[in-house]
Amino acid sequence: MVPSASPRDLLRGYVEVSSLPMIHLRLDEAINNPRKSMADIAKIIREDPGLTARLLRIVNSAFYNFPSRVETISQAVTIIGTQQLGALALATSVMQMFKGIPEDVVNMDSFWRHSVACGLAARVLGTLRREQNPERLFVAGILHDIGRLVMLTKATDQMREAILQSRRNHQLLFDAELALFGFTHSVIGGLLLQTWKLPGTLEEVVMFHHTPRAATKFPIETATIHVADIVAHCMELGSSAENHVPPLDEDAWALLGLSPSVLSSLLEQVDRQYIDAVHSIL
Amino acid sequence: MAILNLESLRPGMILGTDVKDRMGRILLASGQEISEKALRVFKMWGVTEAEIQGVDQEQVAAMSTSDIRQELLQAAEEKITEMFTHCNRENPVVRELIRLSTARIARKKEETNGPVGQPA
Repeated sequence: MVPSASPRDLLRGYVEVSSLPMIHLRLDEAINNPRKSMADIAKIIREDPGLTARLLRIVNSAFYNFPSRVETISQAVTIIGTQQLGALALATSVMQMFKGIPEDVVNMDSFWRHSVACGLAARVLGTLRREQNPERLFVAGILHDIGRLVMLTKATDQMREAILQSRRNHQLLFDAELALFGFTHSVIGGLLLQTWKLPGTLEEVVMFHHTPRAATKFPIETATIHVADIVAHCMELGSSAENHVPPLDEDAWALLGLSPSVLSSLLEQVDRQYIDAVHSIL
Repeated sequence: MAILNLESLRPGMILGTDVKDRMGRILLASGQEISEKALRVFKMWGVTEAEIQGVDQEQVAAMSTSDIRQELLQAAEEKITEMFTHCNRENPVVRELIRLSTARIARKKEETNGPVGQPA
């Protein structure tokens, strides 16, 4: 087995995902530009008919539960907001990018189901904490294990060995990765988002979702995904190839300022939204 | 005294500490009996838990799973033990997650198998 040299080597030459579709950089720029209007943003989205269709499907699902049908992107922008729609657009596009991965390498359906469950849990945690833009947390949840997809496609044999080893030794896959690669999926994920020039929040959250103490700029967002990942594991919705519930960082939980008694309603809300979210997103 | 989740609270229970809303306003004072109306008020103001007199935490945990068949609960517990190998089971958050997940897994199993016989 050839050991991979560094996280960057693993990403280099991965042409399919080396750059994010231009539309997201333009969207990001327009959303953060005070001189651009909602109409400008809707116009950018409409240039991509596939994206438009996917967004309308999500906005019209029970995930949002709007009383009447949202027919156009302009309506969607007005109702859920530019930042939120931009975040959802990003999530669906990234999922599209990884569509071609062969099924014998990884069960993509199951992988994304775990990611959606984590995203939903993160979003509910966000609303419990009265976050302004819970959709951003949803996207972070969708992307949190993206590094594992890179490892599974670019270092398939080595990653299979890591999975086998973790099963055999009742070990966390995270630790098996560290032993075999010298780094983990979280670092790869963070680096990938960095090459995509995505907002620093996503990069840091993905990079440190297993080691939330290391997050210096966005500790609360990172703690949210850390906890949401654990919740998704407890609920056994989908699988990221990790067999165990990751250990909880008590400081990360404390940072959220929530009582453990919110967990029962959190699990209930995720259960309620899950099927519909999976149908509208996958 | 034990802390109960909102959905486990029943009219007639006696509060052990004040129940406050997010702003710190007292909704019902310690020593008061919970009424049907108080439960509605708690829900409205986003209360998630309350401390109740005369029960302990063990009893509460047993209460929340008393309707589930014993063998399903046991199977779920075994599975949960393996899943949570790397977690600190003494942590209150982990403890609550284990309680909820055990019940959830057992209930799911019951749904797929259909009710067989009487609960143990």
